[in-house]
Amino acid sequence: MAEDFRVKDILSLCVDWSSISSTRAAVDQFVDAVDAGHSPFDDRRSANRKPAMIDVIAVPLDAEFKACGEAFLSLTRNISHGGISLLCTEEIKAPYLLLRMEMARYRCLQAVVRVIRSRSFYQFNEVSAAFVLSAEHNPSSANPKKSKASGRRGAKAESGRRRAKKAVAPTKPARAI
Amino acid sequence: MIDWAAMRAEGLSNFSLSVMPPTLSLPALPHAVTKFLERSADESVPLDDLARIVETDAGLTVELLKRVNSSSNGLAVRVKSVSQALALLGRRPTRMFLTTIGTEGAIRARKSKLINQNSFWNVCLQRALFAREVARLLSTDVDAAFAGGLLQDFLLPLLTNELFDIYLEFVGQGQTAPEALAQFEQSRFEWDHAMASACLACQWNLPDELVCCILYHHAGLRILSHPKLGRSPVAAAALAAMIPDPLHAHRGMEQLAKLEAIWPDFKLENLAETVDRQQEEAAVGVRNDFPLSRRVKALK
Repeated sequence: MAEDFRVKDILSLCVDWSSISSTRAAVDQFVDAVDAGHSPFDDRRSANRKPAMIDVIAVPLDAEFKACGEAFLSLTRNISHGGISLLCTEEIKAPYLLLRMEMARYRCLQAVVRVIRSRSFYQFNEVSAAFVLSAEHNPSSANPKKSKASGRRGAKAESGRRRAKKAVAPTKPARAI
Repeated sequence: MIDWAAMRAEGLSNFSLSVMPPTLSLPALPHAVTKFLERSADESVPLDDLARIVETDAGLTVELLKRVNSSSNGLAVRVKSVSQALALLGRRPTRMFLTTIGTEGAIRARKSKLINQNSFWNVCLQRALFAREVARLLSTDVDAAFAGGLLQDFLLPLLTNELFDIYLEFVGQGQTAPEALAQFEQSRFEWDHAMASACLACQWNLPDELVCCILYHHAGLRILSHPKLGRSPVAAAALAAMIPDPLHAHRGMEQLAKLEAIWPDFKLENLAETVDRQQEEAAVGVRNDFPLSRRVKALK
């Protein structure tokens, strides 16, 4: 009998483990290139969400940004300069995810995200997460912009960003899956 | 069953060759191949009619007879007529074969300032043979995989010749990712050679599965996780595209070596030896200076 490959192993091979996180510029460039229609979201977030359906390879990471589970496929619901919402069938317990997104014709982004919440959404799980950016080449981390958001929500977002900045992704993980 | 026409339409979207520089003169398929492709699409057309079309082109006739009489077919008697060859090979494999012969002829007839045609077609044959072996492992169409491996970059000699300065800039960058050339083209032209070649192949009425092999050949290892294309000739052609070529020396072989670790049947060294042996047997008249097995050994 032929010995076959597992799709999850293939997904893991597709991730570039030599530098797992992304810079602010790379995230901005990718999000700007997302071709979204009219946004149905009418909220006061500092970063507007773009509805988008992009295939994503996700790998659960522990607090030290080491792989702590098998790679899986998921789909974005929306994306913004600050974070992303994903749909998947896996239950997410890991604090971080390494995401590799590829849009049509070779535009790709690999980024670490911090899981903010995971909840069931029909037969899927919806994961909301914020980008964790690489410290290098990230001028905004040295000189942060003032948030447009105000009040309790704005303060909450600011404290979230501070937590995210504390958790700066290393350029090399200790091991792959 | 894959709806190849739908996959092709989805991949090409609204792309048309009109976005390419108007000075670019695109090649044409030999008339006999075009006519054969048109007529053979209709299953009711008798084989004798198709044979008469092939016989109008002496070069095609010779190549087809050479193909059917090759030792790999193991025939006891020598085939002497085109209609016999068609009956033995079947419509689809003959379509694939004539397509590859016709396309290669159309491109070889043109000069390229940046690509040495002999080295280029040597690598193309290497990729085609590799794609065929991978297709066997995936239990998918070996003829489509072979044609996909051979023709995935068929427009590159022409593009690099006509847009020489721009491609020279890419060569100077020394990029090592297998998909870097396509990324570079997207950034400079907003199209890439895979799209342009697939669109032209579509205009030539080449089979849709072959157009898809060309269109998605830079999909990389990820294609194996695709629910539809992961077990198709497209996946075999995409893995073959990871073999570097003279224009772009990338790290594709390293990625193929990683695949070996998770796919027990994918034995890169054995595959490379099979490909080298078959390439030698094909005896295209040009020495293969870069045997695949040497490249695989260099990884270790």
